[in-house]
Amino acid sequence: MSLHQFLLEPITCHAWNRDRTQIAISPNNHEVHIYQKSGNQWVKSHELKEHNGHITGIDWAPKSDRIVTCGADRNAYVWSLKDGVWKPTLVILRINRAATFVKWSPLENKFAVGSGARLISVCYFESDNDWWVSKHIKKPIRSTVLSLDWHPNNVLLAAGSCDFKCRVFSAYIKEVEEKPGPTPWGSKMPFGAVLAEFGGAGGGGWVHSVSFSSSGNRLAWVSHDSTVTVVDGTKGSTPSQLKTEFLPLLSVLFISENSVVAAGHDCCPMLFRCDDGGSLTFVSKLDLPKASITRNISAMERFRNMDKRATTEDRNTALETLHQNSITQVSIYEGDQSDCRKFCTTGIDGAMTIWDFKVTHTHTHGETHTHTHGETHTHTHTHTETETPTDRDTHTHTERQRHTQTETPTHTDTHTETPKHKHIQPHTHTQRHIPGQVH
Amino acid sequence: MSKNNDSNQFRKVDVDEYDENKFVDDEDNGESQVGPDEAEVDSLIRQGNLMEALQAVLKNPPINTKNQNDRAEALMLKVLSAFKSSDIEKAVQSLDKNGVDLLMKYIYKGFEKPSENSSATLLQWHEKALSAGGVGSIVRVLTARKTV
Repeated sequence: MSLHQFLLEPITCHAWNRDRTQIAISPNNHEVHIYQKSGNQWVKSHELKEHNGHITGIDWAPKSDRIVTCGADRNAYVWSLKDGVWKPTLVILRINRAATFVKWSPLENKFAVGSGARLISVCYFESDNDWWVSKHIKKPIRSTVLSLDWHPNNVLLAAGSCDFKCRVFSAYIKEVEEKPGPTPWGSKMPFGAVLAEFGGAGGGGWVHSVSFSSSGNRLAWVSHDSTVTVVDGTKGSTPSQLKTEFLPLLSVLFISENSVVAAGHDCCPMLFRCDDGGSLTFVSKLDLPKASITRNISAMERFRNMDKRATTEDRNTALETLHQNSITQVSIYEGDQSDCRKFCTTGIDGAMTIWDFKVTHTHTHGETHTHTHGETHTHTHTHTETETPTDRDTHTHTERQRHTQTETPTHTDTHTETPKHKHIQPHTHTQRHIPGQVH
Repeated sequence: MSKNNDSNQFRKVDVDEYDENKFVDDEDNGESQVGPDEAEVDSLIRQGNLMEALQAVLKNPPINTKNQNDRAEALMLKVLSAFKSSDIEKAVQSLDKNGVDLLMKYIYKGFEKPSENSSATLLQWHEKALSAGGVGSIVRVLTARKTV
């Protein structure tokens, strides 16, 4: 995994171009900055300044190379690259509150914008008038729409909103597409129809993020009551909910048909597994922090600490995770939703981290951590290695992850795993650049 | 100057009631959740069968109903105080995830109205419940709209 610190401002949202050489981010202001990868560095190549309010969503269409941005100024712009300059086209959304989220559809002929006006604006391009037209989905949304995701068939749209519900709508626009075939979610799909509605019923919290799996049969969402829920459209409509013991998660993504990655206020991506029966289990945290080494502080440092911080101990105020503040968005970096090899997270600390996610490997990665000391240390260290080769298909990782472990250094269990089981392998060159830390 | 002697009743109108955009929660009112059976729980405490008492008091939590909530809360406090400190951890382990969440809700409800010794016992319970349920259980107490 590698971390890049852009600036100190929070990254509100980000979007990658098709070959991942450019990233568009918004540093918590009215602008979008596009950075180009050059070697190991990121160089700012464009600044998109058109919005009058904070940018709340960016999406980059990979095939047609267009960027759509939406902001708190109730507008959305579609940007196209002409002669090396990004030119904006205003889209009249007809909303009277801020836009909160935007996403291109899989075929990139439409995009959907969620807003605080309790509606979703689905926009398509009308070539006769050469402008973008928006149609509204209003009922039965009762509060701000926080997150959207398109189904692979380009018609169904999942929306998570502040009225504690996650819904699947049809965003079928007859002007731009053919009638869709039946899906496990329903067969009659006029525009704006609600095909499924989950959540609410007196429990739950705001639904922060929703994600369809690559087949479109599964839908996952995370909500503010620290839960992750997955529902399988082919297996009836009882969602399988997992109440986590962590702080609420803010973003969720399917990285294979059976695995879900989510990240949020705990500053650390977490892996969940959804088996074929539809039940959800927590696998592990994906940020394996370096062991906290109790070093001997030199006399010079001790006096320096006394002077600067009025303390004699080496009190480290940085978090153990790579991200120093909440992660707000997870996106796929390499691979696609059915088989993701790398994913990317950005957060309020202004950092962008790319994580590797490998399928099979030998469990020798224990050595990247300084396990040479034997003392007990509180290790929020979660390995999937504690499973023995004998338990194969029931990967029920019900171990509680936060407990003090005394890890023995001999961690070489080489399994030959079936490819279904995915593991995380951090790279040995963990550049943990924590700004401002003096060692 | 002239004084307006007409009615001032309009000032007492709650305008927000009439806002059509106001969010009205789906009320599952008048459910059959009547609350834990007092007699049963009392007898279990007297017998010294505290684990059972805990399970019994966590059954059927009265949700959203005002007067029954207070009774259930008082009963809960009685059960929690009856436990010895060393037994608390075992009792918490015996609960499932939903039980831990419900216990957390009762604990915080108990914090709201402290009596002489309640806070100390509740804090002990809180510590054990936290290690079982994590911060997620506290988040669920804060975000739950059905109060126990």
